[in-house]
Amino acid sequence: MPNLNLNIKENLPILIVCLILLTIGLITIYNVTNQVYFLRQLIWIIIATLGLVIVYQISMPVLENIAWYLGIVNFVLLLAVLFFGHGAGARRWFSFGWINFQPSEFAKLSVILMLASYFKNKNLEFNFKKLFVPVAIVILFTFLIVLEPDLGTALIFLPILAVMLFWSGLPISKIFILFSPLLSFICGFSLYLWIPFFIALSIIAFRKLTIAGWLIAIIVNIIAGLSSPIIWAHLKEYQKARIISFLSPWLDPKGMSWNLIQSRIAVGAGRIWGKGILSGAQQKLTFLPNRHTDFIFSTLAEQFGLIGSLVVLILYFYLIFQFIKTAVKTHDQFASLVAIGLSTALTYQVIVNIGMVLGLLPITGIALPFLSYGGSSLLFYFIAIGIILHIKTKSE
Amino acid sequence: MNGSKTQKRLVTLILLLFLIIIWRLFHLQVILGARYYRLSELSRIRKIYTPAPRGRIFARNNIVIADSRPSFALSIIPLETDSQTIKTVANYLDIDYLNIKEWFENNAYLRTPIKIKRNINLETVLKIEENLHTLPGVLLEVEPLRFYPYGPATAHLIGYLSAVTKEELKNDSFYKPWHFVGRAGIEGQYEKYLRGNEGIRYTEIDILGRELGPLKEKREEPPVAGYDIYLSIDAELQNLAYELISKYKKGAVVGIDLSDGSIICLVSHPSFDPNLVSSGISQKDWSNLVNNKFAPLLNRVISCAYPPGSTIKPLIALCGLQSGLINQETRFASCLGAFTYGNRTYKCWTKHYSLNLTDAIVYSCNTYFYQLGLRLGLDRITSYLNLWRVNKKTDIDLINERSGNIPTREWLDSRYGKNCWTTGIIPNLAIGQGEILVTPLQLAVIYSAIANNGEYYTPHLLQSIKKGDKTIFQYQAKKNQIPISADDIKIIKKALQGVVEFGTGTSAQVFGITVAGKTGTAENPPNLDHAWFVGYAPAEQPEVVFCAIVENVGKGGAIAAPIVGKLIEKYFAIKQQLAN
Repeated sequence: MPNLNLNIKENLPILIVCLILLTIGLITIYNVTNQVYFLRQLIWIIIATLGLVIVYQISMPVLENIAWYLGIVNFVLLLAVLFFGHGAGARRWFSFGWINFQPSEFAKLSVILMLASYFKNKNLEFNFKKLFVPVAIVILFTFLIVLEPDLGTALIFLPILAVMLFWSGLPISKIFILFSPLLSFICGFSLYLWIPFFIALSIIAFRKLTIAGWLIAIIVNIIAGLSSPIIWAHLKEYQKARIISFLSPWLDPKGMSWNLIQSRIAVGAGRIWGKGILSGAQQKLTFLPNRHTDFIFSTLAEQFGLIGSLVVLILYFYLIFQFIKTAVKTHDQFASLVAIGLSTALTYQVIVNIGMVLGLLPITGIALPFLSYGGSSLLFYFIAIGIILHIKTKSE
Repeated sequence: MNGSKTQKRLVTLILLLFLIIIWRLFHLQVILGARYYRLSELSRIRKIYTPAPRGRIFARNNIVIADSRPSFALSIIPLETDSQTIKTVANYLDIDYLNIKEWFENNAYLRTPIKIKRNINLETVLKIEENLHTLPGVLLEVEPLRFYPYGPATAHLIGYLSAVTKEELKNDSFYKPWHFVGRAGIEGQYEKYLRGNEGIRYTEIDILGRELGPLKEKREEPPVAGYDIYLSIDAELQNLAYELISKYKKGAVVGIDLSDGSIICLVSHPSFDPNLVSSGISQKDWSNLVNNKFAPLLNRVISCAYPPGSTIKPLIALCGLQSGLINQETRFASCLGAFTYGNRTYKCWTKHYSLNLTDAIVYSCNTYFYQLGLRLGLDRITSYLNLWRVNKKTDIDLINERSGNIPTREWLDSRYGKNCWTTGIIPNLAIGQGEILVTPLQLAVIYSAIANNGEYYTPHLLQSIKKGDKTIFQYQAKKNQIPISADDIKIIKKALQGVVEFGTGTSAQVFGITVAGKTGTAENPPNLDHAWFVGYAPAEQPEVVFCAIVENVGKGGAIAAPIVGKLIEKYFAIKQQLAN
C-alpha cells in the first residue's frame, strides 16, 4: 500500500512557490492567447500533478535501478524523433493532436539519473577510465539533440555534467581541464581570446597534472583551437551563413531580430510597477509568435513591471536554493547528486530563457520553467519537484 | 556529504547570474523605461524595407540593355490602416478592394508596408498625395523599376520580372511577398546575382503616422545593389536582327562569335514588351500574352526545334566522306526531279541531272542525298549526328533550352513500335526532314564547328559579373572538338562557299566579304514551310556565324539568306568602325 501522505506541512513552501509561478504563467497565457491555450495548460497541470504524486512515491533505490533503462528508452526516442518528429523547421517532438511530446525534455531526467548512479560512491579521479562513461553519455545526448536541431536544450547537459562532477568532489581546476578542448574550440575563433585562455590552461594543467597529462592537454587544446579557424576558413559562404543562423536560429531569416526589439520594448515599457494585469499594449498589438511560450517573460515583465519580474526571480531563486539545500541535507549520495543535477537544469533554463528575452543571450528556443505554455516542460519540472520532495521528506 | 564550502560556491555563482539579470531588468525598466513606455504606448516603430537596385545588364561596349528607373509605388501598412482607407485607395488605383483584403489576410508582415501597386502614373500620385493625411497607413514611395531601353528587341534574351510565387516564397527565405523575380533569359538565369539585398530601416512614428526619425536601438541596414552582368551581345546587331525578322510573322536569329563562342545577337519573333510585363502587368494582359497563338513568350532560338532541312546536308556529306563510301567526285543516278524508293516517290525541287558531291551541296540536290543516305544506312547517319551532339543541349547560359532530336533505331522503335517503321524514313532523314530536329542555336553551333574545322566553343552570353568596377567573375570559353579529317572539311567548306557564290544562297552575298553557308527548307505540313539560312564569314578565315529561320514563308534562299547577309555586312561595318 503506497503511502499517499504528502507531508503537506513540510513541503508546503515549495508547493506554494510552484503554484504562484503557475498562476502567473496561466494569467499571462490567458492574456496573450485565447481560452484554448489556457484550458490546455490547465489540463497539462492536472496531468503533471499526477506525475508529481506518482514520482513522489518512488523510492531512491528504485529510481536508481531504472535509471539506465530510462536512458536507453530515451535514447531510442531521441533517435526516432529525428525521423518521425515535428517542429518548426526542425524535428523536436512527436505530435498526437494538440499534445506534443518532446523527448529532449525527459533526456534531462534520464541523463541526470544515469550520471548520479555512475558518480555515487565513487572516489572520482581525473583519469580517462573513470570519466569516459559520463562524458560519452553527455556527448551522445547533446549530439542527438543538436541534430534536431535544438542547440539551446542540447547545451544544458554541459553545465549539468560540470556541476555534478563538482558535487562529486572533482576540483574546479580539473573540471576546467576536462572542458578545455570545447572552450579552446570556441575561443579559437579569436586569437585574442585563445592566447590568454591557452596560457591559463597551460599553467593550471601544469600544476594539476602529470607531465604526460599536461602534454596531452596541451596537444588536444592546440588541435581544438586550431581546428575552428581552419574549419571556418574552408567553409563556403553559404555554409558559414547556415552555421550563423544555426547558432541564432531565428535571428534574421524569420524576422526574429524584430521580435527581439519588440520583446525589449515590452519589458522596458513595464517600468517599475507594470501596466497591470490583462493589459500590455505592446504584446497585444505585436505579432510575436512565441509570446506565450519562449517569450512569456517579456509579456510578464510588461504586465507586472520590475517588481513583478523581481518577485518571479526571487521565487525561482528560492526553488533553486531549496533544491541545493535538499542535495546538501540528504545522506543518500545518489539522491544528493540527482537534486544537484535538477537544480542545475532549473538554473540553466531560467538564466538562458530570461537572458534571451532581455537580449543578453542569443535566441534559442528554450522554455521558462513553470511559466511557458507547453506540456513536456511542465511535466519534467513537476517530476523534478516530486523527486526533490521525496528526497526532502523520505530519504534523509 | 558535501561541505558547506561547495554549496556556498555554487550558490554564489547562481546569485551572480541572477544579479546580472536583475541589473539588465533595472536598465531596461527603470533607466530606459520611460522611453520604451513611450515607444510602446504613444508611438510605434515602423520597419521599412528599402529596395535594392537590381543589377544592370550590359551589352558589348558597355551599352546598358537593362536598367532601373525611379517610379512611384503605393504601400499600405496592414496594422495602421482601416477598411475605409483600403476602399478609397482601391478606388484611386482602379483595383479590386477584395483583392487587397485577401492579400492582407495571407500576410504575416503586419507592420511592414505591403506594396499594393507599382509604376503609378504621376496624375494618380498627385491625387493621392493631396489626400494622404486622411489615409492612415498609406505610403507613397519612390522605388527602382526595371527598364529595358531596347524593349521587345531584347525581350527573349533578357527575360522579364514578375511577382514572386507562393512556391518560391516557401522554398527560398530570401523572397518577401512584394518581391519581383527574374524570369526567363538573363534575368532568370542570373537572378541570384542580379537581385541584390534589400536594406531595412526602422523608424519611430507618432500616433498620426508622422515619422519621428530613425530608431536608435537598431542601425539601418543599407540596401546592397545587385551585381552587374556584362553580356557579349552587340546591341546594334541585336536591333538590326530584330528589325529584319519582325518584317515576318514568326522567326528567330542568332549570331555567334567564332573566336570564343560568345553570342552576339539572339532574337525571337514575335516578341513582347518586357517593360510592360515587368512593371506589374494586369492578369488579363498576361493571359493574352500566354494564350496568344503566336506564342510571343517562347524563345524560338533555344526552346523551339525544327527539321533542319537541307542545312543538314553538309553533315550527311561529311558522314559519307568519313565512311569512305564516297569521295568528292562520286556521282549517283541522275536527278530527274524525283526519286523512287520502295513504293514511294521522293521529290527534288528541280531536275539537277548528274552532279558530284560539291555541286549536290551547292545546288542542294535532294535526289543525290536520298541515294547517299540509303547507301549510308540509318545507324551510320544517326551515330554520326550523335557525334555532332544534335540530341544534346548546347549548354548556353539560358534557362528553358531544349535539345534537338535524332530518329535513331531505338527512338523509332519506342515511338512507332518495333518493326512498325520502314527504311523509307532514311531518304527524308538525309535531307533533314521528318523527325530530325534542331534548334536555331544548335544549327549555329554546328556551323561554327564546320567553320573552325571541327573546333567550337560552348555558346555563352555572360562575359563577366561586376560589382561596381570590381570583376567578381570572368567567363572562360570552353573549347570542344568534333573529329573531322582536314581534307573532308575542306571539301564541305568549298561547297558552302559555292552555295553563296553561285548556288541556292546567292542572296546572302555581301560586297567585299566572302560568305559561306547553306539554305534549308523545313517542311511543315500542312502549313507553309520554314525558311533556314545559316552562314559564316569570311569564308577564308571565319569570324562569325549567323543562323536565321523564318516560319511559314516557303523556301530558305529568298527569305532567310538576305537576313544573314545583312547581319554579316553590319558585323564587319561595326568592326571597321571600331578599328577607325
